[in-house]
Amino acid sequence: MRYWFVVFLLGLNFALQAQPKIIIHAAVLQNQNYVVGAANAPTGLFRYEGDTLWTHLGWRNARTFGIAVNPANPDYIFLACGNGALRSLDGGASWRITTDWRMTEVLDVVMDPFDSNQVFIATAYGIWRSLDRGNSWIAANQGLKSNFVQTIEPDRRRAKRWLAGTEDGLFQTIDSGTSWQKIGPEQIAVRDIHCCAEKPGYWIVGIEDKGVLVSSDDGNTWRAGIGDIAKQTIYAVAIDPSYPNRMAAGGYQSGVWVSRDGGRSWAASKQKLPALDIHALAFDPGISGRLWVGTLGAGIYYSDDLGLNWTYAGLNGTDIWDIHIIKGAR
Amino acid sequence: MKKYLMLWLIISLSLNFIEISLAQYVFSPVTQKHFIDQQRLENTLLNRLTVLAPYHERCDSIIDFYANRTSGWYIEIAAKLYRGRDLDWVVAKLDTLMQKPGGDMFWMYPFITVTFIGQDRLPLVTRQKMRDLWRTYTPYRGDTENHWAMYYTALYLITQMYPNEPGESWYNGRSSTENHQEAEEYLLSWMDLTTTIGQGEFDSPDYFGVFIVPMAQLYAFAKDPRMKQRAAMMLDYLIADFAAENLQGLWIGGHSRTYPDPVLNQWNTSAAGISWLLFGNTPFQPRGEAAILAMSGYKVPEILYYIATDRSTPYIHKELKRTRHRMRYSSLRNAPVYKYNYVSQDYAVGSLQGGLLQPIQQHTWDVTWALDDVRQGYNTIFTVHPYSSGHELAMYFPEEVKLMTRGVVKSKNTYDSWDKWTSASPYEQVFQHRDAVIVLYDIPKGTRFEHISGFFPKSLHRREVHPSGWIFCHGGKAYIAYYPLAKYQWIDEEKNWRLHSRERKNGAVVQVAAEHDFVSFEAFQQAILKLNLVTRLTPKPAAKFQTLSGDVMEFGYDEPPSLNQVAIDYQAWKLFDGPFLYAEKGSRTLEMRYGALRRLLDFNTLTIKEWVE
Repeated sequence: MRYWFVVFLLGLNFALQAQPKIIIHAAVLQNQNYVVGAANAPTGLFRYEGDTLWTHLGWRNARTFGIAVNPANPDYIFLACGNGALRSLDGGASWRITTDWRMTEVLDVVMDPFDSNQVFIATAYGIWRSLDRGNSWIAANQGLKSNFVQTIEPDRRRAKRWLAGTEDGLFQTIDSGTSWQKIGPEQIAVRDIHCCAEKPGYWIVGIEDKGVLVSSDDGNTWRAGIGDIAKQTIYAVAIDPSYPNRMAAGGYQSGVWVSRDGGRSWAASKQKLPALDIHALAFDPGISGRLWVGTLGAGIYYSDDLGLNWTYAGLNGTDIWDIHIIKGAR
Repeated sequence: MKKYLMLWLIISLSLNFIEISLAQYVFSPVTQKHFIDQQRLENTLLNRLTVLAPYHERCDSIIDFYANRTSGWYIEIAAKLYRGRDLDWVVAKLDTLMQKPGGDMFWMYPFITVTFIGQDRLPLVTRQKMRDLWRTYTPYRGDTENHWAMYYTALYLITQMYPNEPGESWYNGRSSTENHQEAEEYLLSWMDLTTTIGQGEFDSPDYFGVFIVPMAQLYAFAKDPRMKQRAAMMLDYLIADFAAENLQGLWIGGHSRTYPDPVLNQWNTSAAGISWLLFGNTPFQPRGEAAILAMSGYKVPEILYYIATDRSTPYIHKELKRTRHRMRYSSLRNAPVYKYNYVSQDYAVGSLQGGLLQPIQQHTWDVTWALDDVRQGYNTIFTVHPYSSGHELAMYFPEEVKLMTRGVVKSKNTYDSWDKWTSASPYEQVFQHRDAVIVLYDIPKGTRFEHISGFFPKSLHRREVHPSGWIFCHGGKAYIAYYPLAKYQWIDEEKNWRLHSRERKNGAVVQVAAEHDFVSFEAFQQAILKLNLVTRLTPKPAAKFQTLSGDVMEFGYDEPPSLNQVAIDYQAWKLFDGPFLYAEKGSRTLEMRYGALRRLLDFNTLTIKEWVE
């Protein structure tokens, strides 16, 4: 009997070890009252430790716009920062700035889901691509109408295809950034793009002044969100991996908007958050339906009922620019 | 006494020879020539007495000023180290400061000064702690030109001091070689941009010092003679830019990056503090940037002293600058900025062409008159459209358009105020000829703040509204005539009267003259009233004005201005164009002229040539 109990414990331990670990990071662009060159509170990368606890990693003043973490190797991290693209290969213990003075105001960073050696950064002055984990970079702007690129997103089911969100609309490449072609509606300034890995062809885009665009046919057609959301400026969009018809959007003075029908209809979250400006949204891949929200000024909250109730999760007083969640290898 | 003076002159002359020879030997390719004749030598001897000796006295004075202070800042530490005194105090203060480094690039520049001045004087353990901060403290590079100049200069110098070290020993994970190379590339790129299409954070009275400091540091501490030479030339270049546009140490005319108080009290700026050090043409004020320049060993060329101080003949001085990098809403990364200045001994009039040329802190045009004591300030008249918008900010900053005004107001709290005195506006257009200005506004309905403000200080001797509509003012030894194009009201404020006009189609015609050109203020008024002036407000504001000099200025909103029926050719605008400074766009040169003296900075060959015409 005792033998079986030991076997059971060993099995339980093995099962727990094999479970992918949920790792949550937040990018803090700035604190309230931030001034360049002043004695500011830490900004940059924070890792969630549970409850309302976060651990600050790396540079104290990194002004971080975006995060990329490799699910296969969570120690491999990229940050999109005002100074450039920072890389850690040891889980945030040490960092290297991989870009030089030519690449500044890095607004987004993404690792290629098919080859994590390939990394793209979106900057205020264009797109850059690295094939060697940021050891070298080449400009990848051919075909773009505006060099102000705020967001970039890979097609998570089709290699070499990426979408870029610029001040002058949505662009697509099918050759890993060698050339870009305009897609989608005219006269939109794109703020965020999300591709659903779990449901083929599902994309959502957040735009300035005009709400959201949703595509269910892989970007061949785009449907604008209807109703009041169409007047919102949307900075962050998300699709629930466990139920892809569930989507969320948030932006300037908007609070959180949710859709349960693949973006056909949208409703504002019932319970208001302490801050109405939302800049980061992510569905938790480990807890079905859990939505994480990063606010500007009031920190991070999550809801397990699409905004009927919110739970405070820390970092009050900061401007959360991005939340990045992975189901990482343990 | 006479004997000693003669002896001093002979030694001084000898030193001058040695100095020129050394400079040629160390810095100059064989092509460099110095056309120094006997007359020049005599002039140089004289100049040593009139220019350099007082300059060195002021250098000593400001270094002592900081060396005698004990509040514990880096600049005091640097000055004490420079003087070789109070070492125990210095080490203790450094220990305290190093426990909590902060301030990013504003930490880097004083820290690098202390590092280099103290390299042979500080104990090894202190120097090791200082070195280790470059591994543990992570300074932010910043987001603008002065930040980058300070950041990369410090990085260049500290990696020069500690070469061949691996990435792990530096805060950013890059090796000494990588950091040094990147810093050098940036600095050369900035110098190249500045000497071809102009400075981006141009002519800032408040940020002048933080461009002077990095160049002074490179001049003082760079080992590479080419970088040292570049830095010396950039110091000359930046200082020449200021010298030609100052009156009594005040940086007159249009500016980027200035603040509401300094546009009213123009003496209260970094530029005035440095002007005191270099030229002694304005009262002393303590400025750490000036002290760092004083400790660098830089010697101001005497030609710059004359350019900065001789206002005996009025002159027109034009410049081409550029905007800082634009990210959005512009087809040009750096749009051109056309500067125009008229400077005389009694007053100056200066302007930019208007529009969004600098976020938040633009000063587009003004009249400034000389004062017996410039510290009194409020010796200026100008107008402003107090514009604020996310659109303006998003042109230059990457954050979200709608959030930007709120973010900026946290540190620049007047940005979104109706009564602010610094502002760029897309609805403001300016045309200047000599000491006359036409400024026009066409503000769309719904714009944040639809009014314009005019600053008229209470320090004016007289301010009279004539039935013709002209507002006649007398400030210092200048007469100013201001014709408002639209109705307005006066608001009585503490230091000034505010001309407040709610008319969206608006503008003014301004003519300034020297008091000594007229027998009386009334005679000036009569002369102005005789000038032909035609204005209209619809469909677009416009004015046609015959100036006191007899020229006819014609300017309509959104139309090219013309002078005597010839359109102004902005495409032909030079980088510097005036009696004192001349440079073609893209030339990488700057020729300084004063009387028969010439000094040519040539960044193509990295040479300085001096001669007498």
